[in-house]
Amino acid sequence: MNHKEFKETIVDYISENLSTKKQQEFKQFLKDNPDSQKEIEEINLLWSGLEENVEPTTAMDIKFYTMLNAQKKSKERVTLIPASENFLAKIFSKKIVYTLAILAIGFFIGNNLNIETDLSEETLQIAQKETEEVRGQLVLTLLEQPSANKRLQAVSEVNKLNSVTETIVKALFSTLNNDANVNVRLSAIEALSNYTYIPLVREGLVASIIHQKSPMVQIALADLMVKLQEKKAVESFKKLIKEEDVNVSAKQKMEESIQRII
Amino acid sequence: MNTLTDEALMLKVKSGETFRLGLLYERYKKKLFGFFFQMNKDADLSEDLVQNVFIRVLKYKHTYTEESKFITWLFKIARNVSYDDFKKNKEYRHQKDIVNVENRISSPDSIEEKMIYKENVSILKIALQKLSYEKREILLLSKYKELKYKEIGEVIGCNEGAARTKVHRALNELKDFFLVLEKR
Repeated sequence: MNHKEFKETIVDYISENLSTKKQQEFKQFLKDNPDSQKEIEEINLLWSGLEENVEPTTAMDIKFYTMLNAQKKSKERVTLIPASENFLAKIFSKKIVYTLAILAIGFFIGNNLNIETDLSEETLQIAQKETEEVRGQLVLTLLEQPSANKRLQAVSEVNKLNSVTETIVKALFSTLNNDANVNVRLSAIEALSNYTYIPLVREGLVASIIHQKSPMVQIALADLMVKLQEKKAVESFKKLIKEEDVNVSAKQKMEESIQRII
Repeated sequence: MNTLTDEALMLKVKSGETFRLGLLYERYKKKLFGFFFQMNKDADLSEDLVQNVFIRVLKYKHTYTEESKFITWLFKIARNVSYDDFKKNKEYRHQKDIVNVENRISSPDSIEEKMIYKENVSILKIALQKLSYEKREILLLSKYKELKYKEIGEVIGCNEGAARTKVHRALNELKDFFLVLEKR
């Protein structure tokens, strides 16, 4: 340890901030340098001067313990009633706040959704109307297709419609009376059977009986007329039965139907 | 044993066993009183300040964590209490200090009656009062064996190295004051 180092560690030495190893080095240095010994004594004097022999009076203790007791008492009062109240209030207020917040959010969301549904109902109606129109157009277009498949598709499209226009009804009847394909005609009957509440449809169906050549169609119409209990059809069936080129089983079916209608 | 350490006691105080503060008070009342008395040379005031420290300990007990040494935490509070008081009574204290110092120097009785060592001590006390507030404070803190430079740094808000340097400077200044006063 040199002199510079010694100077630097004096404070650490007297404030006992040195490691045991450093402390030994320091003591060795003091032994070797009597001048330093004097310096240390001086500093030690300074250091000990920092100590104060004045002691606090018992008045301080009394004050402290009075304060501590008062604290304890006031704390007991706090802990017994208001603390529990506080605790409950905290829990409840938190819950209530959350509940109210969620309610409010729900209310606003619900409100917004309502407005949206109001709007969408309007737009939905418009959209539905539009699709109905498109579908109607589609039916009419498909019915004119040369492919029987397409015409079948057209008839099945009719089943998806909520209401039929006169044009569609007319188109269906022209299919029923003129279409070359039996299946198309059969499905036309099926489609028209949904609209029998329209007098025009019933009349049209009755009128078409006489034009039918295919026994399948004749049978289907006979079934439908029984279902509808359409008396006007009886005349047409009788006429058909009299004709020679009508299928026997179809004739039988028509006769049965006449019986059942009456 | 563990329940008797300062830290364990303080944690109990924190958890609501306020009465345990009594033991901590007994352990530290003299140190705190000495600290305040050295700072302001007023015994009555120092007693009040010790009381204030423990009121604050109770008030801020929730801020105490087991990571910090109790003495460090306590002296942080003590330092604030002392500084608040110092700010409040700055003007008044300054004048009183000067009068005190002059009285002691010019009082022939004390010099004649006391032995050389005692004389030196009294001069030293005057010298200490001549130091700036901050230097006096750090010297007093460094006197406590429990407070190493690291903890002193924590109390006054600087790092270990800076605390060490500050103690050195303060002690050197004290020495200078002492030598000047001795020659008079």
